[in-house]
Amino acid sequence: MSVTASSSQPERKELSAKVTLAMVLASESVFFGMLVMSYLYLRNGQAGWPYLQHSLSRLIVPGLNSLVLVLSAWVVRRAQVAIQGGSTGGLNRNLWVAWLLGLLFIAGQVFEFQRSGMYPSDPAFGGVFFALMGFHALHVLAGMLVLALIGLRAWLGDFDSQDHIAVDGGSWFWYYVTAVWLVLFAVLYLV
Amino acid sequence: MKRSARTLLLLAALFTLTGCAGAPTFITPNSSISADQAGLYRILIVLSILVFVFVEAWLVYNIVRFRRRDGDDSLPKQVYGNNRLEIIWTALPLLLVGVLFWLTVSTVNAVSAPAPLADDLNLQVVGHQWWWEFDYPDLGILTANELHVPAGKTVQITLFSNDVIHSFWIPQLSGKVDVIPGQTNHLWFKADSLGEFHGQCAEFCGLNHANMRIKVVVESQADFEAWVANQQKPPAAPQTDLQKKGYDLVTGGICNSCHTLGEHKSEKESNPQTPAGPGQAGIELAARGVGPNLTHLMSRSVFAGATYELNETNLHRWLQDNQSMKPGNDMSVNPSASDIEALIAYLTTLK
Amino acid sequence: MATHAQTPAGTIPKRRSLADTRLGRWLTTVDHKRIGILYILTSFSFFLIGGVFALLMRLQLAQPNGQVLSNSTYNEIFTMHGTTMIFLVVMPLSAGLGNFLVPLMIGARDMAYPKLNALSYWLFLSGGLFLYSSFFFGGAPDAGWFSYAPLTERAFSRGPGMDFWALAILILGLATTLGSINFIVTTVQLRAPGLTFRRLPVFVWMVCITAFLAVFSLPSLTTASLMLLLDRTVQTHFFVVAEGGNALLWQHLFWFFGHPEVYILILPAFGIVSEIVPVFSSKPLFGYTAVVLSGMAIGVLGFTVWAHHMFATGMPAIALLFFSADSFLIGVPTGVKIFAWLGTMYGGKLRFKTPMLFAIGEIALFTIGGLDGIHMAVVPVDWQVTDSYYVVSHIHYVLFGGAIFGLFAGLYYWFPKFTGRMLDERLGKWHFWTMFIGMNLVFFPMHILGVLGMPRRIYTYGSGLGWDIWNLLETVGAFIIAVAVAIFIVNFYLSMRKPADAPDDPWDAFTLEWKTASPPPDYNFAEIPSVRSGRPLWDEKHPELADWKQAEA
Repeated sequence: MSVTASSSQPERKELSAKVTLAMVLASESVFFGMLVMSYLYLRNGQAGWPYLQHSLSRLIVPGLNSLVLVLSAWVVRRAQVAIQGGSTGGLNRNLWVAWLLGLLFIAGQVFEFQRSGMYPSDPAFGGVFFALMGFHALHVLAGMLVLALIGLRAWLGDFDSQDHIAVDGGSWFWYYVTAVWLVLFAVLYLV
Repeated sequence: MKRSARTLLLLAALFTLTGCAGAPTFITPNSSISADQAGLYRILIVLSILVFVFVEAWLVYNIVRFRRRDGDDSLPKQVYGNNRLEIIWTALPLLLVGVLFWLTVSTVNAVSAPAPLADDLNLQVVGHQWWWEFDYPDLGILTANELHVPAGKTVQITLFSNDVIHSFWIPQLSGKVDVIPGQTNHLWFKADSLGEFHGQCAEFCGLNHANMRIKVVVESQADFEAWVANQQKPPAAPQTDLQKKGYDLVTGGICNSCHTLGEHKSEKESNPQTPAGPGQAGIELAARGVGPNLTHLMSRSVFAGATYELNETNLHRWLQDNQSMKPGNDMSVNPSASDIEALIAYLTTLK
Repeated sequence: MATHAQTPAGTIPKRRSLADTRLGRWLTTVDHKRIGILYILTSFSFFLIGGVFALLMRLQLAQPNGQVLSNSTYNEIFTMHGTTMIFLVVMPLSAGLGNFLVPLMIGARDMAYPKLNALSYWLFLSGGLFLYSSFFFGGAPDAGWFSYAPLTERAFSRGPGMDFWALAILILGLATTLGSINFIVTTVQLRAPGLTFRRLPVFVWMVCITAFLAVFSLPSLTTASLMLLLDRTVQTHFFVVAEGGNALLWQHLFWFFGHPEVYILILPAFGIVSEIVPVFSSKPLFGYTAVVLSGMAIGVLGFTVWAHHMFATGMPAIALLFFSADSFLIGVPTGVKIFAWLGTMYGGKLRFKTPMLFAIGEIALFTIGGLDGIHMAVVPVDWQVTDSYYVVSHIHYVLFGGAIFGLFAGLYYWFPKFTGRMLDERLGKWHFWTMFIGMNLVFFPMHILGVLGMPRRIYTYGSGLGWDIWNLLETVGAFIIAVAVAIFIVNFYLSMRKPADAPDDPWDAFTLEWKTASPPPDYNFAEIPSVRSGRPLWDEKHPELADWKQAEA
């Protein structure tokens, strides 16, 4: 009697998905970590670094943006809870709201970039600031794509209370993107 | 003692095989730093040979002793491990590297720079693509490619780069130190004996990384002072018409757009430390020429990144077609044949 | 012309699908065995190209003031040689062997994500071709495989070569990351019943650890490459010193990747040797647990030693000593492995078939390379020998003597499993001895050159420095290696012409891959086996001496 060791059984699939997502997030964490370290390394060598926290007014827009993103993470959590309870409608509604909040965040970022009067070609600070914010924004956009795809699959009836690996995966990615933002916000604006 | 006999043998072999007089190697050191490094290296070699012999002997023993004989189909005893043995061969190497680390710490201390004294010779070395510039700030001397130092005197060097990362390395005098734009690095040495020593750039820096060499002349205090006195003189004034024509060419834009000629004030007089802005090393590097200072060109025996002997033939060839001698170098002038005659006439007076 | 097939509805022209054609089977495959072979064939082709570059370099350096290559061409060649050998040869060759063998060794039918597996391969091929296309689009990268800034900034590298390098690195990095995730999930999820982690073949362990190293180190390289691209295209200033950037930032980011990278390059080869030596000694691996733990130790410690590549940059003493200490430390687990292999051979009954020869060669040569590494951990000595030919000697002893010899051992060992044919033993021995002699002739004198003051990455050198004779010898040695590789190619060609009738288990081996036919059927195992130890075939063949019957460590 042999047990087929295939990756098609649901528990196995879930574990595979978790391990895969963990590896992807680990990789991304090293990436953002290296960018943050580079930021600190460059900042350490400079006089005249345009510290952003020197004026409180600078914090308003990114502060609001942080709230938007944290709110969206909460909404995604609600979506996750909804499908755990079997409610595809709840899943869908919350996904939509989260997606819109993500869009609002992106708009806020664009506004902040223009308002700052900085360019990537500004000495040192410009490059690393825009690299951090830019790659994070790309991850938010990727997350929005993921949420949209999950929403589409949900609408087509793919998920139920037992089987919703993709929702979990996408939710975790969104929480991750939010957490990274909070770190970046602290490093760039508060420290 | 067996150890020194073995290493002496190794050195002797190297000497005979390489015609060592020319080899720029730290195992024929000319300073306490290189001597310390050579001594440490000797210990490493001996230890490595011991480890190597042990490992290879065991390997050869296994190969010879445990070869499966023809017709023997039996199975050997299936041994899975031996905790005690495994602990031993983890602990012993740990001990060995611990010893090596202790040797490392003590040698790092031994070769570290002594506190600067008023008596020291201060030197600023600037790495350019692809030549080395030597600035004696207290003496008001600016030269290139050939470095003069007196024996027995501590030389304290600050290293700057004008462009990319280079590495200043004269094996017989000290280990190498990278020359990094935006950063000031330090190097020191005290040369023991007189002689000429070879060095090269040791960090890949582009097309002519191989052609960024250094000639170091270690001389007696008297000879060094004579050299200094000569270097401090103003450039020779042109005498003949041809020399005057050459002088006009040199100072008229062809040469002096990159090369400098004339008095070089000491660092203290002409270049107050500019405050360190982003990326600045505190020294106004832009004030330096893109090319070597020519004031006492002919007092040097080498040029073009110390890759060619400095004589009239080579100089002539250089002015005619320097790209064939050092492809890709930044000197892009094309003087006519008569201009070259004039230039040579004047340049050769710059002793 | 359409072929007409009989179908119930009448004669309708039926087109062959791509997957039915011989070529198409390879283009569309998601079978780990085919993908493995694609990796191996592709990386071997790059090996030949990289080798030709090495021969060109050696021709240029055979004499002082050489005129074979110009300085610009030489710089492109040595850059492409290094980049090719590391990213396009050793890594994918290891990945190819891993791809074919890991599912078989753990009793699975395929990798966890077969389509992702195929994507990884095609990304690898694309990245490699993209990199080489630079020759045709304005010049190959020419700042060395580690591309130090600010030399690589647009101000100093005007051609597009560095853009090709950075983009290719990004593509290849993605391929490796995806492949690594695949290996990890496969090993976690698809092991056969009874195959606990303590019974996992050492090769699988090493591939897994390598995969973790890749996942955690590649992002640092990605960061550096992206920064370089941004500097070169949109005028950011990460590494431009005059505008607030930092030249050393590149080195920190690069070597934080670069050091784990060298363990990525060697650990699979260590795994291969750990499989071969026991089989050809007819004994189990001595100290399996220690070998696995030492692999993990190397993996973890590998992230803490990166600045030993930067000892000459003017670091404060405390940093120097920390990295020195760690670099010493990392030599200890490697020693543990070497002693384990020696302990395995001891008391065994050794058969010196070609795989065993290469494995033994790997042990002997890596020992030298490893000792070199210890020399360079001694900071004051490193200040003399870093950036000289001493380092070139070290890296080639560990990468050529270590990784390449190990990989050749694996190729000879598993060739029957891949192709159903045995590689010829006599040619194999000729290959081994020629390569062993050639390798030592090229790379041993480089120790001497380094001590004699010859810097690395120079396209020529002056005469009268005592370097001439050694360089000439090395060039001769390089061509001897070329002969050795030619022997291998001849061996491959002649062996492939034989009928595919190799037995399932030609070497009397221990692990699950030898339970299948040579080559295995598409589904690998008719019935997924259960195992009770790390040597399931040994247990089957010698039930009275089965591992699970002994008191296991």
